[in-house]
Amino acid sequence: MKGIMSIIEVMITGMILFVAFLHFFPQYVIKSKWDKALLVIKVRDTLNTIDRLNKTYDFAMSNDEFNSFMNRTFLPEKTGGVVVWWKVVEDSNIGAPTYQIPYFTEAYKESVVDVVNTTVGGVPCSNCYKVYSFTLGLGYPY
Amino acid sequence: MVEIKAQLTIQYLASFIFFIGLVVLVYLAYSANIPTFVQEVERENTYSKAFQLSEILVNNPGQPRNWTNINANNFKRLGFSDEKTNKSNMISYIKVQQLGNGICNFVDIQNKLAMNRSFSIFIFNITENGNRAQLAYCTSPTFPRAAVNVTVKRITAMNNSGKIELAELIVQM
Repeated sequence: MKGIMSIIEVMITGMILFVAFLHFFPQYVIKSKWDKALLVIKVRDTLNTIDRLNKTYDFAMSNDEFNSFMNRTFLPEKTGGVVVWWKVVEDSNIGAPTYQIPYFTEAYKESVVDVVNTTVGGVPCSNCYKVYSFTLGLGYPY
Repeated sequence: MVEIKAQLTIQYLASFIFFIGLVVLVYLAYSANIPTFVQEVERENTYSKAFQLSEILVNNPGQPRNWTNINANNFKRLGFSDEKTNKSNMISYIKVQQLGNGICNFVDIQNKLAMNRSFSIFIFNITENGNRAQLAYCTSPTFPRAAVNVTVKRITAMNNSGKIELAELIVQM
């Protein structure tokens, strides 16, 4: 009986040690945030590029032009990945069309504020300069 | 005659072997993760370097800023940002062209970018239908494609003598 007791004791000790090891030394899990970081970079790059191309107002006012640009930039066959995009134009009275926000699993958006001169034919007007914000969102599809 | 009683019982031996077995099991389970861990840390580091390199190439004009005007081998650092417009995400077509015209002496470029590892740089013009027309590339001769660990892609505008085009810069490490 004495021998059996020592075996039981060592088994219990072993189990306690095993559980303690798993608790105090958990499995290594590396959670890389580069996917998210690269998405943020992609949004910023695209927004800056739209601005450099001087297309912010055009894209704010035309969903087709915006879609065409984004399709060409993020063509899945060329980029090796699929992303969804949307835009939000806030304010002012520039009459921008609305854009449906797609379903996504993870996304990031960033805005730029722009001023547009709506003078027609060089005729001075009191409210020609209009301020609006252009928000671009990119995400991974749902 | 003196009898010496055995000090180690069979139960003690069994317990001891069982205990050592458990310790070895835990050690093996734990140490099996170490190579994966090291590999993942290395990958994170590579991502960081690739991003830094892409940032320098896209948003820094290089040293000197107008390095296209001097002898191709005399510039100190490579960068494609257009020094005339001085804006982020605006690269110069002339600088890209210089890379395409053979300044890519890889070891020299590697030194000028202070990179201690192999990498590849590709620059494409994005056409109207989304195709990528290659403008320039610079890659290590000893860098097999299978060894590519990370890829960082940057969308940028490109100043081609006043005409602003859409371009993509890819860094692979």
